[in-house]
Amino acid sequence: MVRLKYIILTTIVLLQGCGESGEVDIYYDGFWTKHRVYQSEAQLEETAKIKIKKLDIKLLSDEASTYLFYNFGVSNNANIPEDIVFMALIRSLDGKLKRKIIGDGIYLYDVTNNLFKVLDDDQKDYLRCFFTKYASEPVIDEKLESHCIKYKN
Amino acid sequence: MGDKIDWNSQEGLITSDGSQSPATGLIHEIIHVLVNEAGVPNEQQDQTTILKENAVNLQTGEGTRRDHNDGAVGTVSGPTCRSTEDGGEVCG
Repeated sequence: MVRLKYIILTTIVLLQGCGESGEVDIYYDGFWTKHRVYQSEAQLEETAKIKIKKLDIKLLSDEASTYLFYNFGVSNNANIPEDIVFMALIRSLDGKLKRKIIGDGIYLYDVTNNLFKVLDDDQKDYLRCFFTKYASEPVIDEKLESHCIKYKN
Repeated sequence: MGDKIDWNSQEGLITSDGSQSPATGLIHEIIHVLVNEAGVPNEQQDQTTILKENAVNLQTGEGTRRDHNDGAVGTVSGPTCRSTEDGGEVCG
């Protein structure tokens, strides 16, 4: 029964996926980042190290799209993120919020569909380089820039 | 790329038990790194870090923390300064 629920929910998420038109706002503070006191969504939105505003979803690479938006599932053991280091707000072209995803150092949580996923370190690394590339304000970090060269075609 | 600590030398903390200096905040972040390098599972790292930080707090006399979300950030004038109940601060 639980498995059937998982399949149905996953199918719903895939069907409503992000293949259509729309824009995404991304706030990112580092998937490995921990704060002295847990950071709220509002604090992240205000002080995120990387902000990407109104990025056309079609500009997301296949990898970024898959890591961020697909393969979420039901988890009875996962905890809803408290120290928020990542947030994605997916909106339709008319500005209506379609889907919200938040994350801490462990889980990505699809707030809209109440589903979870865990990114591995390679996926986190790819995404941080992707975010750096599309940041609304340039990220001045030569070490990171050098590290991310491996992902450039 | 290795661990990196961002530290604000004027960021104090008011906890349910008292107050903490920015120096304790630095200790907290160093403990996080050590706990991670020790291979403690992700889900247990915050609580383990607080347990170890509280051991330091008991020695320094600074406020302990109930859990990782216990505390409100407040600005103090230096790394060893912390807020007092009367709204002032004590340093050193």
